Order: sequence, then structure tokens, then C-alpha cells
Amino acid sequence: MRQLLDFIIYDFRQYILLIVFCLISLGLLVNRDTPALHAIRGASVELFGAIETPLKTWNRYFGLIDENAALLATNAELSAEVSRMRTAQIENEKLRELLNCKAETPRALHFAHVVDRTFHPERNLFMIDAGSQDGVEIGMAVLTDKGLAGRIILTSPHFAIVQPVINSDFKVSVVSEKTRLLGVVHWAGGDIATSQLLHIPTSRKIDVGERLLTTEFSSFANANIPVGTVERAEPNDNDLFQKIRVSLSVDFSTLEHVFVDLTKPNVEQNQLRARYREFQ
Amino acid sequence: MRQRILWYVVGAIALGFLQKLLFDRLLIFGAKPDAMLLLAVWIARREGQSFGTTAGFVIGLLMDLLHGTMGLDAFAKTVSGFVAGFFSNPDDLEKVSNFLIATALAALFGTSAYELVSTALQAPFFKWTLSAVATSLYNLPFAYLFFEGAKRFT
Repeated sequence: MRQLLDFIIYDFRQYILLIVFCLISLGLLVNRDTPALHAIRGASVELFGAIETPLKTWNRYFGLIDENAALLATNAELSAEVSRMRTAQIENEKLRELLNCKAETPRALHFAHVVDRTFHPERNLFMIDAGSQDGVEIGMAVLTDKGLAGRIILTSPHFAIVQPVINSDFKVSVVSEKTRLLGVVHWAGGDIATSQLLHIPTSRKIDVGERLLTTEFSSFANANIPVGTVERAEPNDNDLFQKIRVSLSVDFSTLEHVFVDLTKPNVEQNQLRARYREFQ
Repeated sequence: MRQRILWYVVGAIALGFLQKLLFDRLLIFGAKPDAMLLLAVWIARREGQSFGTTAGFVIGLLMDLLHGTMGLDAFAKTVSGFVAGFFSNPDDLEKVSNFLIATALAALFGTSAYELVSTALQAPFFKWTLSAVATSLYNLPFAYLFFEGAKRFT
């Protein structure tokens, strides 16, 4: 018996290791939202954020050296002055828009910088420099002055991970502004400027250019936050629903600053939804 | 042996940050250079299949921590380390062609495993095949540079 065991362990140990490690990996994947693994993920986010922040600052200085070299090369003081003023004006306009957004929104918002981005063809993620110590909680909506950017899915004391609209796991219920049709915006990969609007029947007409806003019954976002505009709507062959392309409100290619909507997620509603899912 | 393991650990941490800060940004057609895959292949060829499988798992776990995901990279890199272990013949260790083939196959199987698990086996055949082949091909020039660099270092 012992010889047989030795034979199996010696001759097949690589296969045994493969199976054991794959099972552990799948176990981690399935249980990633348990409190213990949440804490580990939060700690790693905190550690990486702390390392990333000074590197980002260093990168900024590196960029300034390049910019200065370019300005010296032109050797034209006046044009450099104009260039600097134009840059300042654009930044000023952006900041004014952000200030207006904050002033116009009665809800409590927390300003944050995007400090890291995980690039993936389908599962993009952002890290922001606001965490649980700033009142940020899992499930809170993340906005810009243009509209909905995503939601918080993981927090550490000083940082948080944002699942943006351009993540295939992200879905948000929306209502069209004029025709009041209800649907779901879902990004399926590819172009980060556009997404899809699902569940609009072919029998109903939706206008191109119509704005899509979050609904009252979204599980994380307040109502009437812009998500995008209808870019193209066409009937889907052999399907009950239309194929609708949506131009997203937020430009994710230049996203640097966001607001976290500090409105606490409705725990009772979410618990009821969870119980209903279990019931199903 | 203990010293080599120490170098592997140092290399994994350094390459992990390089991957997160630089290589993750070089995305083309859904594929990106994978420095951690190259390290897993290197270790698997040098130390054998069992060690390579274990190293792949640990390296994947490190990437999971850096990415904030849990288990996905560990699963993919375990498969990659296991596949690369088939190329651990001591006579072929100095052959760059052997390293490139090991990298291509490890990337192919590792990416396929990643795509299939991340989509709960729902990924369309064309999509994950394209992603796996693109990753496999994209990593070849980096594998050549890695092999030449690591050979001089060791």
C-alpha cells in the first residue's frame, strides 16, 4: 500500500499539484467576496496604492521636464506664454465644470483622483485615492460632471477600486429621457466610447440622440444621472429586442478626476434583492 | 537552491510591479506582454514541472493581489507553469527556440484557461482563441529578450 502511495505521489505529483492548485484557485475565485478575502484584497489595494502614488508624482515631474525641453526648443517666449495660458484655460474650464456639478448636486460628493487603471479588453478597473476613511463604501456610485462613471466594488482605508461602465460585469438600469423607455446599459468590450442598450422591444420607437438617465430603482445610483445618448437603433434580426448603440457620457480615455456619491446604498432594498435571488 | 529561490522571489516581485505599471498598458487586440508568464516558464524549464506548477500558482497569486482579483491569475499561471514544465529537458535549457515554444504554448493554454474561467465557460470560441493566439504571438519577442537577458544574468 505504501509502495503504491509512493509510486503515485512520486510519478504523478505534478498532476496532483496541478489539480490541487487549480482547485485552490477556483476556490479563491468563488469565495472572493468573503470577509477574509475581502480584507486581503483591501490590504493589497492599499499597499499598491501607497506605492503607486509617489510613482505617479514622479511621472508628473518627468512629464514636466519633457514639456520644458519642448518649450525651450521652440525658443519663442510669446508662443510658450499663449500655450501655457491655453492649457490653464482648459484646466480652468474643466475645474469649473466639476465645481458646477458639485454645486448643482444636493448630494454629498467626495472628490478623488484616478491613481491607477487596470487595462483589460473586457474588465477595466480604476483605483481612486479615496477610501473607507473618507466615507467611501462598496456599492456607492462614481460620477463625473458628464455623468455616471461606475461604482465602488472594493475599499481600503485610503483607496478604492471602481468598476467602471466600461466593464462587462457592469450593468445599470436606465430610462430614456423623452420616450421613458426602460432598459439596461451593458458594455460588452471593444470601443470604450460606446455601449449597448438592452431590452428595448422592436415594437417601441426610441429617438437617436435621446439621453439615457439612471432610474429610481437602480441598486446603487441615484436617479437621473446621465449614462449616455442613443447613437444608433436598428431592429435585431429574429429577436424581440432592438440593437441599440449608446454613446457614453463619460470619456474614459481622459478620466483623471471623479466624484464619489456618498449616498449610502439602500441596505434594506439590497438585502431584499439578495433574499429574492436566494429564493429563486 | 535556497539562493535560487530567493532570486526567483525577488524577480517575481520586481517583474510584478513592472507588469502592473508598464506591461499592462501595452494592450494590443486584447493581448499584453506577460513578464510573469516568462518568469514562470523560465522557472518551470530550469526546475522541472512540479516546481514550475507551484511557481506558476504563487506568481499568479501575486498578480491576483496586485490586480485586486482573486484566483483568476493563479489558475492561469498554474496551467502555464505546468505546460512549460514539459520543456524542462536539461539538454535543451540553453536553446532559445525551446524557450520560445514553451512560452508560446504556456501563453496559449494559460490565456485559454483565463478566458474560459473568467467567463464561466461562456466565452465564444472565436474570441478566446483570438485572445490566446494573440497573447502567444505577442509574447514571443519579449520571450527572446527575456531569455537573452536572463541567460547573461545567471
